[in-house]
Amino acid sequence: MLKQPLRKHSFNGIEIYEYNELGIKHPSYMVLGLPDAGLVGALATKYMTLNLGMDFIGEVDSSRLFQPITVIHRGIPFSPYQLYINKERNILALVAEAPLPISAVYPMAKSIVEYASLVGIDYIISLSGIAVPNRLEIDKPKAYWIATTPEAQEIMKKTELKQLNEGFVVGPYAVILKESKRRGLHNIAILVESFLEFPDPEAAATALQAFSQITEIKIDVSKLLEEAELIKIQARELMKQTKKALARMQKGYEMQMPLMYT
Amino acid sequence: MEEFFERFRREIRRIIREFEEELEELRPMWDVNGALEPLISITKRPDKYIVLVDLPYADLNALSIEVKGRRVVIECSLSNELRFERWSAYGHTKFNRYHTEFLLPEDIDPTNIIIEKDDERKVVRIIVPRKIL
Repeated sequence: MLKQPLRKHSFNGIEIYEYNELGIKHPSYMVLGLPDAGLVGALATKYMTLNLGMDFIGEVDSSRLFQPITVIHRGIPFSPYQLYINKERNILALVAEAPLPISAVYPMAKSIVEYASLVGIDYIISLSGIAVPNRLEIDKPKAYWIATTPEAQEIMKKTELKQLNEGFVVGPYAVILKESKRRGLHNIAILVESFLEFPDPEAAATALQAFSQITEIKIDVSKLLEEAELIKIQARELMKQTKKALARMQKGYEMQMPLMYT
Repeated sequence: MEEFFERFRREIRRIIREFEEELEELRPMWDVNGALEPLISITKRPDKYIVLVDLPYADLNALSIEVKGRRVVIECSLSNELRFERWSAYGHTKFNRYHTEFLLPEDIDPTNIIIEKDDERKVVRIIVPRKIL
């Protein structure tokens, strides 16, 4: 895939390059896999693109806000933030192979929401980890949800997942939630109990199972679980970089309780 | 004058610490001799530090943890040699063990360290008491 992009969209200092036509009027779901606690979203989304045989469609870049990183796949240079599509299942996915610098969090989050609005996405689905200090003692991590519109809340109430009623969310997903709510866009954030500083493929599998419950799109997570140890070895460097980025974003807030009136 | 030298020493220590942190960021977590560096997480509690070491694919029966003062040295073989046809820009690579060394905080009491292995998750927990001041 060595060709020039068909078009470029610019938002807030962020450029989104489309190399191929979306091929569908408007994708139903945009799944976000930005590196976060336990790399839950990043691992889940990458696995989804492989498992569903999704096609590369574009990439996100910023000469002002991103680090000068190019990732090479099969000899071809890409931005570490890539867009994939599965036309049959109406899914667009953002795969991230590098953590976001703190200065890029707000512009990137706002750009994602603007792009989702531009291409007519029905639901933005953010997959993420929520660090819990006793993760080592938890066999089956729980998934929680946050939704930004009454319609999205209704969908989530029909699932077996629990709503996150009180707490903090820190990082790009936090901004995407606020922006989506303000614009009346449907954003569902799935937060799965995870390690903060170790890659957590089990939590990523739980996130994908939660995604399947919402969308009725089956994703077989058996290979993700079978190859968990190998995936953890390969994801160590990304986890190390993400840990530094999360510390700068004050990720520790997520383990605190907000002020409450009871 | 003494105050000036103390400030000077503190500043030098800060610069050295920052320099070491920058070097740390540049260093890869593997080497060409087959060693992988594990991820480590240290949590501070009122009476102890909890150190978690993530050792996927390790044979925890071959785990060695040596604590000398504040310095911890961890060695562990992998269950099998891991071969990668493509590893970064390096091409064909194989790994057979974990190795890491790190310093614990200054207020540890190294006399009653507890080591627990979770063989299923391949995570080792090192509980290090803190000195009661």
